[in-house]
Amino acid sequence: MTSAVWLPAGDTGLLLDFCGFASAATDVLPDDDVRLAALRQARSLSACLAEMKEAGKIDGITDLVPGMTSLLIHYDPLLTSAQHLKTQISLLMSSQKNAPSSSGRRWHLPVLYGSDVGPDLEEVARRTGLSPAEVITRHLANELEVAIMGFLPGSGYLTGVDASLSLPRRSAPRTHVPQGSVGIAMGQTTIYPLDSPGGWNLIGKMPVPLFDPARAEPIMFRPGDRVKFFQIDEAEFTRLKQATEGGAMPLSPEMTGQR
Amino acid sequence: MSTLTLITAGPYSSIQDKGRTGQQALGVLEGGAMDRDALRIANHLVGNEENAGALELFMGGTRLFVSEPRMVSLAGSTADHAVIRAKNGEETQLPSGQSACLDAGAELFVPPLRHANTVIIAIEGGFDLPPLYGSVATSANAKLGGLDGRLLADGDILPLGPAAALSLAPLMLSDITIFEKSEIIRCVTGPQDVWFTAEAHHLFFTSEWAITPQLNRMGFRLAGPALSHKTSADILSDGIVCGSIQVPGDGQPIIMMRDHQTTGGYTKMATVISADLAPLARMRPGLSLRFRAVSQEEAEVAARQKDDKMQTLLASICPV
Repeated sequence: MTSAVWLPAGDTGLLLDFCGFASAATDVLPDDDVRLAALRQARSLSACLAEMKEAGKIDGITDLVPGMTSLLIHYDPLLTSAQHLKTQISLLMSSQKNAPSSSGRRWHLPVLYGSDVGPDLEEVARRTGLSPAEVITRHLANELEVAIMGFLPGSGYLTGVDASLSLPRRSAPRTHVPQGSVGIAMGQTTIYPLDSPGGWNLIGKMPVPLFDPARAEPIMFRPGDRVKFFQIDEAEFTRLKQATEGGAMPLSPEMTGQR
Repeated sequence: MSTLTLITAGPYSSIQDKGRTGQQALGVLEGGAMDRDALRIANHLVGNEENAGALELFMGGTRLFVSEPRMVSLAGSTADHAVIRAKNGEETQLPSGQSACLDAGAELFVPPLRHANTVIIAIEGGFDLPPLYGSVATSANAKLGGLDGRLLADGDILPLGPAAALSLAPLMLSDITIFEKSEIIRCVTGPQDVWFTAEAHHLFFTSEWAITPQLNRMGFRLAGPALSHKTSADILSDGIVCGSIQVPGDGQPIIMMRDHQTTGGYTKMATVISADLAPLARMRPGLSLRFRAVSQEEAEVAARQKDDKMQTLLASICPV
Protein backbone atom coordinates (compact mmCIF):
# COMPACT_ATOMS: atom_id res chain seq x y z
CA MET A 1 0.00 0.00 0.00
CA THR A 2 2.94 2.34 0.71
CA SER A 3 3.85 2.50 -2.98
CA ALA A 4 0.34 3.47 -4.20
CA VAL A 5 0.50 6.50 -6.50
CA TRP A 6 -2.28 8.89 -7.58
CA LEU A 7 -2.25 9.80 -11.27
CA PRO A 8 -4.60 12.24 -13.02
CA ALA A 9 -6.80 11.11 -15.95
CA GLY A 10 -8.17 14.52 -16.95
CA ASP A 11 -11.01 16.07 -14.94
CA THR A 12 -13.16 12.92 -14.97
CA GLY A 13 -10.68 10.27 -13.87
CA LEU A 14 -8.26 9.46 -11.06
CA LEU A 15 -5.95 6.49 -11.42
CA LEU A 16 -4.65 4.88 -8.27
CA ASP A 17 -1.67 2.71 -9.13
CA PHE A 18 -0.94 0.16 -6.43
CA CYS A 19 2.57 -0.92 -7.35
CA GLY A 20 3.95 2.26 -8.81
CA PHE A 21 4.36 0.48 -12.13
CA ALA A 22 2.36 2.86 -14.29
CA SER A 23 4.42 5.76 -12.99
CA ALA A 24 7.82 4.08 -13.02
CA ALA A 25 8.48 4.17 -16.80
CA THR A 26 10.05 0.78 -16.84
CA ASP A 27 9.42 -2.18 -19.06
CA VAL A 28 10.57 -4.51 -16.32
CA LEU A 29 7.34 -6.05 -15.11
CA PRO A 30 6.92 -6.29 -11.36
CA ASP A 31 7.18 -9.75 -9.84
CA ASP A 32 4.05 -11.87 -9.99
CA ASP A 33 3.40 -11.65 -6.25
CA VAL A 34 3.72 -7.84 -6.29
CA ARG A 35 1.37 -7.67 -9.26
CA LEU A 36 -1.15 -10.00 -7.68
CA ALA A 37 -1.11 -8.05 -4.41
CA ALA A 38 -1.77 -4.82 -6.38
CA LEU A 39 -4.62 -6.44 -8.28
CA ARG A 40 -6.22 -7.62 -5.04
CA GLN A 41 -5.86 -4.18 -3.48
CA ALA A 42 -7.46 -2.60 -6.56
CA ARG A 43 -10.41 -4.99 -6.49
CA SER A 44 -10.82 -4.72 -2.74
CA LEU A 45 -10.89 -0.90 -2.81
CA SER A 46 -13.22 -0.99 -5.81
CA ALA A 47 -15.69 -3.21 -3.92
CA CYS A 48 -15.46 -0.96 -0.88
CA LEU A 49 -16.08 2.23 -2.88
CA ALA A 50 -18.92 0.62 -4.84
CA GLU A 51 -20.61 -0.22 -1.55
CA MET A 52 -20.14 3.34 -0.23
CA LYS A 53 -21.43 4.77 -3.50
CA GLU A 54 -24.51 2.54 -3.29
CA ALA A 55 -25.12 3.60 0.31
CA GLY A 56 -24.73 7.30 -0.59
CA LYS A 57 -21.63 7.66 1.57
CA ILE A 58 -19.41 9.06 -1.18
CA ASP A 59 -20.43 11.52 -3.91
CA GLY A 60 -19.48 12.02 -7.50
CA ILE A 61 -18.03 8.61 -8.41
CA THR A 62 -19.55 7.53 -11.74
CA ASP A 63 -17.70 4.27 -12.37
CA LEU A 64 -14.93 2.09 -10.95
CA VAL A 65 -12.61 0.11 -13.22
CA PRO A 66 -9.97 -2.18 -11.71
CA GLY A 67 -6.91 -2.63 -13.94
CA MET A 68 -4.10 -5.18 -13.68
CA THR A 69 -2.38 -3.20 -10.88
CA SER A 70 -4.57 -0.11 -10.56
CA LEU A 71 -8.04 1.28 -9.97
CA LEU A 72 -9.50 3.95 -12.27
CA ILE A 73 -12.08 6.07 -10.47
CA HIS A 74 -14.36 7.85 -12.96
CA TYR A 75 -15.88 10.97 -11.40
CA ASP A 76 -18.16 13.89 -12.21
CA PRO A 77 -16.33 17.20 -11.67
CA LEU A 78 -19.70 18.92 -11.12
CA LEU A 79 -20.28 16.77 -8.02
CA THR A 80 -16.81 16.35 -6.52
CA SER A 81 -13.13 17.11 -7.17
CA ALA A 82 -9.97 15.05 -7.48
CA GLN A 83 -8.58 16.65 -4.34
CA HIS A 84 -11.69 15.86 -2.33
CA LEU A 85 -11.77 12.25 -3.56
CA LYS A 86 -8.07 11.74 -2.80
CA THR A 87 -8.59 12.95 0.77
CA GLN A 88 -11.68 10.78 1.28
CA ILE A 89 -10.12 7.66 -0.24
CA SER A 90 -6.72 8.02 1.45
CA LEU A 91 -8.52 8.19 4.79
CA LEU A 92 -10.53 5.14 3.87
CA MET A 93 -7.42 3.19 2.84
CA SER A 94 -5.64 3.91 6.10
CA SER A 95 -8.55 2.45 8.07
CA GLN A 96 -9.79 -0.10 5.54
CA LYS A 97 -10.44 -3.56 6.74
CA ASN A 98 -9.58 -6.06 4.04
CA ALA A 99 -12.66 -6.07 1.86
CA PRO A 100 -12.99 -9.28 -0.13
CA SER A 101 -11.16 -9.11 -3.45
CA SER A 102 -12.54 -12.40 -4.71
CA SER A 103 -16.14 -12.88 -5.80
CA GLY A 104 -16.39 -16.22 -3.98
CA ARG A 105 -17.74 -17.87 -7.14
CA ARG A 106 -16.37 -20.69 -9.27
CA TRP A 107 -17.48 -21.58 -12.79
CA HIS A 108 -17.04 -25.00 -14.38
CA LEU A 109 -16.97 -24.16 -18.07
CA PRO A 110 -17.30 -26.63 -20.96
CA VAL A 111 -14.88 -26.32 -23.88
CA LEU A 112 -14.81 -28.11 -27.23
CA TYR A 113 -11.11 -28.18 -28.18
CA GLY A 114 -9.39 -28.24 -31.57
CA SER A 115 -10.70 -28.89 -35.09
CA ASP A 116 -12.64 -26.03 -36.72
CA VAL A 117 -13.38 -24.23 -33.45
CA GLY A 118 -9.76 -24.22 -32.23
CA PRO A 119 -7.82 -23.51 -35.44
CA ASP A 120 -4.56 -22.66 -33.64
CA LEU A 121 -4.33 -25.79 -31.46
CA GLU A 122 -1.85 -27.53 -33.80
CA GLU A 123 0.32 -24.42 -34.05
CA VAL A 124 0.26 -23.87 -30.29
CA ALA A 125 1.37 -27.49 -29.89
CA ARG A 126 4.22 -27.00 -32.38
CA ARG A 127 5.42 -23.74 -30.81
CA THR A 128 5.34 -25.09 -27.27
CA GLY A 129 6.86 -28.45 -28.24
CA LEU A 130 3.88 -30.32 -26.82
CA SER A 131 1.34 -32.64 -28.42
CA PRO A 132 -2.16 -31.18 -29.01
CA ALA A 133 -3.52 -33.57 -26.36
CA GLU A 134 -0.92 -32.33 -23.88
CA VAL A 135 -1.82 -28.68 -24.63
CA ILE A 136 -5.45 -29.52 -23.76
CA THR A 137 -4.44 -31.38 -20.60
CA ARG A 138 -2.37 -28.43 -19.40
CA HIS A 139 -5.09 -25.93 -20.28
CA LEU A 140 -7.52 -27.97 -18.19
CA ALA A 141 -5.11 -28.36 -15.28
CA ASN A 142 -5.24 -25.03 -13.47
CA GLU A 143 -8.04 -23.12 -11.84
CA LEU A 144 -7.96 -19.67 -13.45
CA GLU A 145 -9.05 -16.29 -12.11
CA VAL A 146 -10.95 -13.47 -13.85
CA ALA A 147 -8.28 -10.85 -13.12
CA ILE A 148 -9.91 -7.88 -14.83
CA MET A 149 -12.68 -7.55 -17.37
CA GLY A 150 -12.72 -5.89 -20.78
CA PHE A 151 -12.21 -4.95 -23.45
CA LEU A 152 -15.58 -6.12 -24.79
CA PRO A 153 -18.77 -6.43 -22.70
CA GLY A 154 -18.51 -9.54 -20.55
CA SER A 155 -15.00 -10.58 -21.58
CA GLY A 156 -12.32 -11.14 -19.00
CA TYR A 157 -8.59 -11.71 -18.75
CA LEU A 158 -8.22 -15.12 -17.06
CA THR A 159 -4.85 -15.47 -15.33
CA GLY A 160 -3.11 -18.55 -13.98
CA VAL A 161 -2.66 -20.54 -17.21
CA ASP A 162 0.12 -23.16 -17.05
CA ALA A 163 3.42 -21.34 -17.81
CA SER A 164 4.35 -23.79 -20.58
CA LEU A 165 1.44 -22.44 -22.66
CA SER A 166 2.62 -18.81 -22.53
CA LEU A 167 2.83 -17.49 -26.10
CA PRO A 168 2.61 -13.98 -27.57
CA ARG A 169 -0.50 -12.94 -29.52
CA ARG A 170 -0.59 -13.90 -33.21
CA SER A 171 1.57 -11.51 -35.25
CA ALA A 172 -1.35 -10.86 -37.63
CA PRO A 173 -4.68 -10.59 -35.77
CA ARG A 174 -7.71 -12.22 -37.38
CA THR A 175 -10.37 -9.86 -38.69
CA HIS A 176 -13.09 -12.25 -37.56
CA VAL A 177 -13.05 -14.39 -34.43
CA PRO A 178 -16.36 -16.18 -33.75
CA GLN A 179 -18.21 -15.63 -30.47
CA GLY A 180 -17.30 -18.21 -27.83
CA SER A 181 -13.76 -18.82 -29.12
CA VAL A 182 -11.29 -19.68 -26.36
CA GLY A 183 -7.91 -18.03 -26.90
CA ILE A 184 -4.59 -18.10 -25.09
CA ALA A 185 -1.80 -15.50 -25.07
CA MET A 186 0.68 -14.01 -22.57
CA GLY A 187 -0.05 -16.65 -19.94
CA GLN A 188 -3.75 -15.78 -20.01
CA THR A 189 -6.97 -17.15 -21.46
CA THR A 190 -9.85 -15.16 -22.87
CA ILE A 191 -13.24 -16.14 -24.27
CA TYR A 192 -14.65 -13.90 -27.01
CA PRO A 193 -18.10 -12.61 -25.92
CA LEU A 194 -19.01 -11.48 -29.46
CA ASP A 195 -17.87 -12.01 -33.03
CA SER A 196 -14.98 -9.55 -33.26
CA PRO A 197 -11.46 -9.07 -34.59
CA GLY A 198 -8.79 -10.62 -32.36
CA GLY A 199 -5.20 -11.77 -32.09
CA TRP A 200 -5.27 -14.52 -29.45
CA ASN A 201 -4.31 -18.13 -30.30
CA LEU A 202 -7.61 -19.99 -30.63
CA ILE A 203 -7.67 -23.49 -29.15
CA GLY A 204 -11.38 -24.17 -28.61
CA LYS A 205 -14.88 -22.86 -28.11
CA MET A 206 -17.29 -22.42 -25.19
CA PRO A 207 -20.99 -22.93 -26.05
CA VAL A 208 -22.53 -20.52 -23.51
CA PRO A 209 -22.23 -16.81 -24.41
CA LEU A 210 -20.47 -14.63 -21.82
CA PHE A 211 -22.77 -11.77 -22.78
CA ASP A 212 -26.40 -12.00 -23.85
CA PRO A 213 -28.64 -8.91 -23.49
CA ALA A 214 -31.69 -11.24 -23.52
CA ARG A 215 -30.63 -12.86 -20.23
CA ALA A 216 -31.85 -11.68 -16.82
CA GLU A 217 -28.17 -11.17 -16.00
CA PRO A 218 -26.59 -10.34 -19.36
CA ILE A 219 -22.98 -10.72 -18.15
CA MET A 220 -21.72 -14.00 -16.65
CA PHE A 221 -18.38 -13.08 -15.09
CA ARG A 222 -17.52 -10.82 -12.18
CA PRO A 223 -13.94 -9.75 -11.47
CA GLY A 224 -12.45 -12.28 -9.06
CA ASP A 225 -14.49 -15.25 -10.33
CA ARG A 226 -12.62 -18.57 -10.49
CA VAL A 227 -12.82 -20.67 -13.64
CA LYS A 228 -12.10 -24.37 -14.23
CA PHE A 229 -12.53 -25.75 -17.74
CA PHE A 230 -13.68 -29.26 -18.68
CA GLN A 231 -13.57 -30.89 -22.11
CA ILE A 232 -16.76 -31.71 -24.03
CA ASP A 233 -17.45 -33.35 -27.39
CA GLU A 234 -19.37 -31.95 -30.32
CA ALA A 235 -22.71 -33.53 -29.31
CA GLU A 236 -22.52 -31.94 -25.84
CA PHE A 237 -21.48 -28.63 -27.39
CA THR A 238 -24.58 -28.66 -29.62
CA ARG A 239 -26.83 -29.63 -26.71
CA LEU A 240 -25.51 -26.81 -24.49
CA LYS A 241 -25.68 -24.31 -27.34
CA GLN A 242 -29.37 -25.15 -27.81
CA ALA A 243 -29.93 -24.79 -24.06
CA THR A 244 -28.92 -21.10 -24.27
CA GLU A 245 -31.56 -20.12 -26.80
CA GLY A 246 -34.01 -17.32 -25.95
CA GLY A 247 -31.89 -16.00 -23.09
CA ALA A 248 -31.81 -19.29 -21.12
CA MET A 249 -28.76 -19.97 -18.95
CA PRO A 250 -27.73 -23.62 -18.47
CA LEU A 251 -24.75 -22.87 -16.19
CA SER A 252 -24.48 -21.41 -12.74
CA PRO A 253 -21.45 -20.69 -10.59
CA GLU A 254 -20.61 -22.68 -7.50
CA MET A 255 -20.34 -20.58 -4.34
CA THR A 256 -16.99 -21.39 -2.78
CA GLY A 257 -17.30 -19.37 0.39
CA GLN A 258 -13.67 -18.33 -0.16
CA ARG A 259 -13.36 -14.58 -0.34
CA MET B 1 -47.66 3.02 -32.86
CA SER B 2 -45.91 6.20 -34.04
CA THR B 3 -42.80 5.58 -36.06
CA LEU B 4 -39.91 7.26 -37.81
CA THR B 5 -38.83 5.76 -41.14
CA LEU B 6 -35.35 6.21 -42.55
CA ILE B 7 -35.59 6.35 -46.34
CA THR B 8 -31.80 6.69 -46.35
CA ALA B 9 -29.92 6.33 -43.06
CA GLY B 10 -26.63 7.91 -44.13
CA PRO B 11 -23.28 6.26 -43.33
CA TYR B 12 -22.47 5.55 -39.65
CA SER B 13 -25.77 6.96 -38.31
CA SER B 14 -26.91 5.64 -34.95
CA ILE B 15 -29.17 6.22 -31.96
CA GLN B 16 -27.32 7.92 -29.10
CA ASP B 17 -28.07 9.34 -25.69
CA LYS B 18 -25.80 10.29 -22.79
CA GLY B 19 -24.38 6.74 -22.71
CA ARG B 20 -24.31 4.04 -20.06
CA THR B 21 -22.23 4.31 -16.96
CA GLY B 22 -21.42 2.17 -13.95
CA GLN B 23 -20.71 -1.14 -15.74
CA GLN B 24 -17.24 -0.54 -17.14
CA ALA B 25 -15.72 -3.00 -14.67
CA LEU B 26 -17.67 -5.66 -16.61
CA GLY B 27 -16.36 -4.42 -19.96
CA VAL B 28 -19.55 -2.51 -20.85
CA LEU B 29 -18.34 0.61 -22.63
CA GLU B 30 -19.90 4.03 -22.09
CA GLY B 31 -20.83 5.10 -25.60
CA GLY B 32 -23.19 8.05 -26.03
CA ALA B 33 -23.31 11.09 -28.30
CA MET B 34 -19.95 12.33 -29.60
CA ASP B 35 -21.27 15.88 -29.11
CA ARG B 36 -23.07 15.92 -25.77
CA ASP B 37 -23.68 19.68 -25.98
CA ALA B 38 -25.64 19.07 -29.18
CA LEU B 39 -27.59 16.19 -27.61
CA ARG B 40 -28.73 18.32 -24.66
CA ILE B 41 -29.66 21.28 -26.81
CA ALA B 42 -31.44 19.24 -29.50
CA ASN B 43 -33.57 17.51 -26.88
CA HIS B 44 -34.47 20.80 -25.15
CA LEU B 45 -35.58 22.23 -28.51
CA VAL B 46 -38.25 19.51 -28.87
CA GLY B 47 -39.30 19.39 -25.21
CA ASN B 48 -37.57 16.07 -24.39
CA GLU B 49 -35.61 15.14 -21.28
CA GLU B 50 -32.12 16.43 -22.17
CA ASN B 51 -30.40 13.05 -22.35
CA ALA B 52 -33.12 11.22 -24.31
CA GLY B 53 -32.15 9.07 -27.30
CA ALA B 54 -31.75 10.94 -30.58
CA LEU B 55 -30.26 10.34 -34.04
CA GLU B 56 -26.54 10.96 -34.39
CA LEU B 57 -25.58 11.51 -38.02
CA PHE B 58 -21.90 11.13 -38.77
CA MET B 59 -21.86 12.25 -42.38
CA GLY B 60 -25.41 13.36 -43.15
CA GLY B 61 -27.14 12.24 -46.33
CA THR B 62 -30.11 11.17 -44.21
CA ARG B 63 -33.74 11.27 -45.38
CA LEU B 64 -36.65 10.44 -43.09
CA PHE B 65 -40.36 10.86 -42.35
CA VAL B 66 -42.65 10.33 -39.36
CA SER B 67 -46.07 8.66 -39.14
CA GLU B 68 -47.64 11.49 -37.15
CA PRO B 69 -46.65 15.16 -36.67
CA ARG B 70 -43.63 15.61 -34.38
CA MET B 71 -41.29 18.43 -33.43
CA VAL B 72 -37.79 17.82 -34.78
CA SER B 73 -34.55 19.71 -34.16
CA LEU B 74 -30.99 19.78 -35.43
CA ALA B 75 -27.93 20.71 -33.34
CA GLY B 76 -24.15 20.42 -33.32
CA SER B 77 -22.92 22.60 -36.16
CA THR B 78 -22.52 26.33 -36.80
CA ALA B 79 -23.43 25.94 -40.47
CA ASP B 80 -24.91 22.54 -41.40
CA HIS B 81 -28.69 22.43 -41.69
CA ALA B 82 -31.63 20.23 -42.68
CA VAL B 83 -34.35 20.74 -45.27
CA ILE B 84 -38.02 19.99 -44.64
CA ARG B 85 -40.01 19.20 -47.76
CA ALA B 86 -43.77 19.58 -47.16
CA LYS B 87 -46.39 17.36 -48.76
CA ASN B 88 -47.04 20.05 -51.38
CA GLY B 89 -43.34 20.09 -52.35
CA GLU B 90 -42.51 23.34 -50.60
CA GLU B 91 -39.05 23.35 -48.98
CA THR B 92 -37.97 25.16 -45.82
CA GLN B 93 -34.62 25.15 -44.09
CA LEU B 94 -34.19 23.89 -40.54
CA PRO B 95 -31.02 25.63 -39.31
CA SER B 96 -28.79 24.21 -36.59
CA GLY B 97 -30.08 25.16 -33.13
CA GLN B 98 -33.75 25.27 -34.12
CA SER B 99 -36.80 23.04 -34.06
CA ALA B 100 -39.78 22.81 -36.41
CA CYS B 101 -42.84 20.63 -36.84
CA LEU B 102 -42.45 17.71 -39.22
CA ASP B 103 -45.91 16.80 -40.50
CA ALA B 104 -47.01 13.36 -41.57
CA GLY B 105 -46.32 13.12 -45.29
CA ALA B 106 -43.42 15.61 -45.10
CA GLU B 107 -39.77 14.62 -45.40
CA LEU B 108 -36.70 15.78 -43.56
CA PHE B 109 -33.40 15.68 -45.43
CA VAL B 110 -29.93 16.36 -44.00
CA PRO B 111 -27.43 17.08 -46.79
CA PRO B 112 -23.90 15.66 -46.43
CA LEU B 113 -22.24 17.44 -43.49
CA ARG B 114 -19.62 20.02 -44.43
CA HIS B 115 -18.77 21.71 -41.16
CA ALA B 116 -19.08 19.34 -38.19
CA ASN B 117 -18.36 15.60 -37.96
CA THR B 118 -21.74 14.86 -36.40
CA VAL B 119 -25.10 16.49 -35.89
CA ILE B 120 -27.92 15.41 -33.61
CA ILE B 121 -31.51 15.16 -34.84
CA ALA B 122 -33.88 14.99 -31.87
CA ILE B 123 -37.51 13.92 -32.27
CA GLU B 124 -40.25 14.92 -29.85
CA GLY B 125 -40.99 11.88 -27.67
CA GLY B 126 -37.65 10.19 -28.37
CA PHE B 127 -37.42 6.51 -29.29
CA ASP B 128 -39.32 3.66 -27.69
CA LEU B 129 -36.45 1.17 -27.53
CA PRO B 130 -35.44 -1.16 -24.69
CA PRO B 131 -32.66 0.41 -22.61
CA LEU B 132 -29.62 -1.69 -21.70
CA TYR B 133 -28.07 -0.62 -18.38
CA GLY B 134 -30.21 2.51 -18.49
CA SER B 135 -29.28 3.67 -21.98
CA VAL B 136 -30.37 3.24 -25.60
CA ALA B 137 -26.98 4.44 -26.95
CA THR B 138 -25.58 2.33 -29.78
CA SER B 139 -22.04 0.96 -29.60
CA ALA B 140 -21.91 -1.00 -32.83
CA ASN B 141 -18.46 -2.55 -32.18
CA ALA B 142 -19.77 -4.12 -28.99
CA LYS B 143 -23.23 -4.77 -30.47
CA LEU B 144 -24.87 -2.80 -27.65
CA GLY B 145 -28.03 -0.72 -27.50
CA GLY B 146 -29.93 1.19 -30.18
CA LEU B 147 -31.65 -0.98 -32.76
CA ASP B 148 -30.28 -4.54 -32.27
CA GLY B 149 -26.87 -3.08 -31.35
CA ARG B 150 -26.18 -1.94 -34.89
CA LEU B 151 -25.83 1.17 -37.01
CA LEU B 152 -28.97 2.41 -38.73
CA ALA B 153 -29.75 1.20 -42.25
CA ASP B 154 -31.92 2.35 -45.14
CA GLY B 155 -35.54 1.36 -44.56
CA ASP B 156 -35.29 1.08 -40.77
CA ILE B 157 -38.53 1.89 -38.97
CA LEU B 158 -37.99 3.20 -35.44
CA PRO B 159 -40.76 3.24 -32.80
CA LEU B 160 -41.25 6.67 -31.24
CA GLY B 161 -42.08 7.44 -27.62
CA PRO B 162 -45.26 9.31 -26.66
CA ALA B 163 -45.39 12.93 -27.79
CA ALA B 164 -46.02 15.76 -25.35
CA ALA B 165 -49.70 16.42 -24.66
CA LEU B 166 -49.37 20.09 -25.56
CA SER B 167 -48.19 20.99 -29.02
CA LEU B 168 -44.93 22.91 -28.91
CA ALA B 169 -44.03 26.01 -30.86
CA PRO B 170 -40.82 25.93 -32.95
CA LEU B 171 -37.96 26.97 -30.69
CA MET B 172 -34.48 28.37 -31.23
CA LEU B 173 -31.20 28.80 -29.44
CA SER B 174 -30.25 32.47 -28.98
CA ASP B 175 -26.61 31.86 -29.88
CA ILE B 176 -25.07 28.95 -31.79
CA THR B 177 -21.42 29.79 -31.13
CA ILE B 178 -21.58 26.92 -28.61
CA PHE B 179 -21.28 24.64 -31.69
CA GLU B 180 -17.89 26.04 -32.70
CA LYS B 181 -14.85 23.82 -33.13
CA SER B 182 -11.66 24.43 -31.20
CA GLU B 183 -8.13 24.28 -32.60
CA ILE B 184 -6.69 24.61 -29.11
CA ILE B 185 -7.49 21.52 -27.07
CA ARG B 186 -6.77 21.68 -23.36
CA CYS B 187 -5.48 18.56 -21.65
CA VAL B 188 -4.12 17.34 -18.33
CA THR B 189 -0.82 15.45 -18.67
CA GLY B 190 -0.79 11.86 -17.49
CA PRO B 191 -1.51 9.26 -16.33
CA GLN B 192 1.59 7.79 -18.08
CA ASP B 193 3.39 10.97 -19.16
CA VAL B 194 6.58 9.90 -17.35
CA TRP B 195 6.94 7.07 -19.88
CA PHE B 196 7.82 9.58 -22.61
CA THR B 197 11.14 11.28 -23.36
CA ALA B 198 11.64 14.99 -22.64
CA GLU B 199 11.71 15.55 -26.41
CA ALA B 200 8.30 13.83 -26.76
CA HIS B 201 6.85 16.15 -24.08
CA HIS B 202 8.20 19.18 -25.93
CA LEU B 203 6.89 17.96 -29.31
CA PHE B 204 3.48 17.05 -27.91
CA PHE B 205 2.75 20.58 -26.68
CA THR B 206 4.47 22.58 -29.45
CA SER B 207 3.48 20.68 -32.61
CA GLU B 208 0.51 21.03 -34.88
CA TRP B 209 -1.42 17.73 -34.99
CA ALA B 210 -3.35 16.84 -38.13
CA ILE B 211 -6.75 15.18 -37.75
CA THR B 212 -6.56 12.15 -40.06
CA PRO B 213 -9.49 10.46 -41.84
CA GLN B 214 -9.08 7.59 -39.36
CA LEU B 215 -11.75 9.03 -37.16
CA ASN B 216 -14.78 7.27 -35.75
CA ARG B 217 -16.83 6.92 -32.58
CA MET B 218 -14.01 4.95 -30.94
CA GLY B 219 -11.16 7.36 -31.54
CA PHE B 220 -9.43 10.12 -33.52
CA ARG B 221 -6.02 9.26 -34.93
CA LEU B 222 -3.66 12.24 -35.19
CA ALA B 223 -0.58 12.70 -37.38
CA GLY B 224 2.55 14.67 -36.51
CA PRO B 225 6.10 14.12 -35.29
CA ALA B 226 6.71 10.71 -33.68
CA LEU B 227 6.58 10.80 -29.88
CA SER B 228 9.25 8.55 -28.41
CA HIS B 229 8.89 6.43 -25.31
CA LYS B 230 11.74 6.07 -22.82
CA THR B 231 11.52 2.28 -22.92
CA SER B 232 8.18 0.87 -24.03
CA ALA B 233 4.68 1.80 -25.22
CA ASP B 234 3.08 -1.12 -23.41
CA ILE B 235 1.77 -1.04 -19.86
CA LEU B 236 -0.23 -3.48 -17.77
CA SER B 237 -3.82 -2.78 -18.85
CA ASP B 238 -5.64 -0.07 -16.94
CA GLY B 239 -8.93 1.84 -17.26
CA ILE B 240 -9.54 4.49 -19.90
CA VAL B 241 -11.61 7.70 -19.80
CA CYS B 242 -13.14 9.49 -22.78
CA GLY B 243 -10.44 11.91 -23.98
CA SER B 244 -7.46 9.68 -23.06
CA ILE B 245 -4.61 10.28 -25.50
CA GLN B 246 -2.97 6.91 -26.13
CA VAL B 247 0.38 6.73 -27.87
CA PRO B 248 1.24 3.27 -29.20
CA GLY B 249 4.68 2.23 -30.45
CA ASP B 250 4.44 4.20 -33.71
CA GLY B 251 4.44 7.46 -31.69
CA GLN B 252 1.22 8.83 -33.24
CA PRO B 253 -1.48 9.83 -30.73
CA ILE B 254 -5.00 8.40 -30.73
CA ILE B 255 -7.64 10.32 -28.76
CA MET B 256 -10.12 7.86 -27.28
CA MET B 257 -13.70 9.00 -27.93
CA ARG B 258 -17.14 7.80 -26.73
CA ASP B 259 -16.91 4.17 -27.89
CA HIS B 260 -13.45 3.72 -26.33
CA GLN B 261 -12.74 0.32 -24.88
CA THR B 262 -12.99 0.12 -21.09
CA THR B 263 -9.35 -0.88 -20.51
CA GLY B 264 -6.19 -0.74 -22.60
CA GLY B 265 -2.49 -1.50 -22.53
CA TYR B 266 -0.92 1.54 -24.22
CA THR B 267 0.74 4.49 -22.51
CA LYS B 268 -1.41 7.60 -22.21
CA MET B 269 0.40 10.91 -22.53
CA ALA B 270 -2.49 13.17 -21.50
CA THR B 271 -6.27 13.46 -21.26
CA VAL B 272 -8.46 16.00 -23.09
CA ILE B 273 -10.51 17.94 -20.53
CA SER B 274 -14.26 17.25 -20.52
CA ALA B 275 -15.14 20.86 -21.47
CA ASP B 276 -13.22 20.47 -24.76
CA LEU B 277 -14.54 17.06 -25.84
CA ALA B 278 -17.50 18.39 -27.84
CA PRO B 279 -15.47 21.11 -29.66
CA LEU B 280 -12.87 18.41 -30.44
CA ALA B 281 -15.54 16.00 -31.71
CA ARG B 282 -16.51 18.63 -34.34
CA MET B 283 -12.98 18.85 -35.81
CA ARG B 284 -12.96 17.31 -39.27
CA PRO B 285 -10.14 15.46 -41.06
CA GLY B 286 -7.72 17.88 -42.69
CA LEU B 287 -7.92 20.36 -39.81
CA SER B 288 -5.22 20.49 -37.19
CA LEU B 289 -5.05 21.19 -33.48
CA ARG B 290 -2.61 22.05 -30.74
CA PHE B 291 -2.60 20.83 -27.16
CA ARG B 292 -2.38 23.18 -24.21
CA ALA B 293 -1.59 21.84 -20.74
CA VAL B 294 -3.82 22.70 -17.78
CA SER B 295 -3.84 21.29 -14.25
CA GLN B 296 -6.49 18.85 -13.05
CA GLU B 297 -7.92 21.65 -10.84
CA GLU B 298 -8.09 24.08 -13.80
CA ALA B 299 -9.83 21.38 -15.84
CA GLU B 300 -12.44 20.91 -13.11
CA VAL B 301 -13.05 24.67 -13.01
CA ALA B 302 -13.45 24.64 -16.82
CA ALA B 303 -16.05 21.85 -16.51
CA ARG B 304 -18.09 23.90 -14.03
CA GLN B 305 -17.82 27.06 -16.15
CA LYS B 306 -18.90 25.10 -19.21
CA ASP B 307 -21.94 23.78 -17.35
CA ASP B 308 -22.89 27.27 -16.15
CA LYS B 309 -22.65 28.56 -19.71
CA MET B 310 -24.82 25.68 -20.93
CA GLN B 311 -27.47 26.32 -18.25
CA THR B 312 -27.64 30.00 -19.26
CA LEU B 313 -27.92 29.05 -22.92
CA LEU B 314 -30.66 26.46 -22.32
CA ALA B 315 -32.62 29.02 -20.29
CA SER B 316 -32.44 31.43 -23.24
CA ILE B 317 -34.20 29.07 -25.67
CA CYS B 318 -37.16 31.00 -27.09
CA PRO B 319 -39.87 30.70 -29.78
CA VAL B 320 -38.64 31.23 -33.35
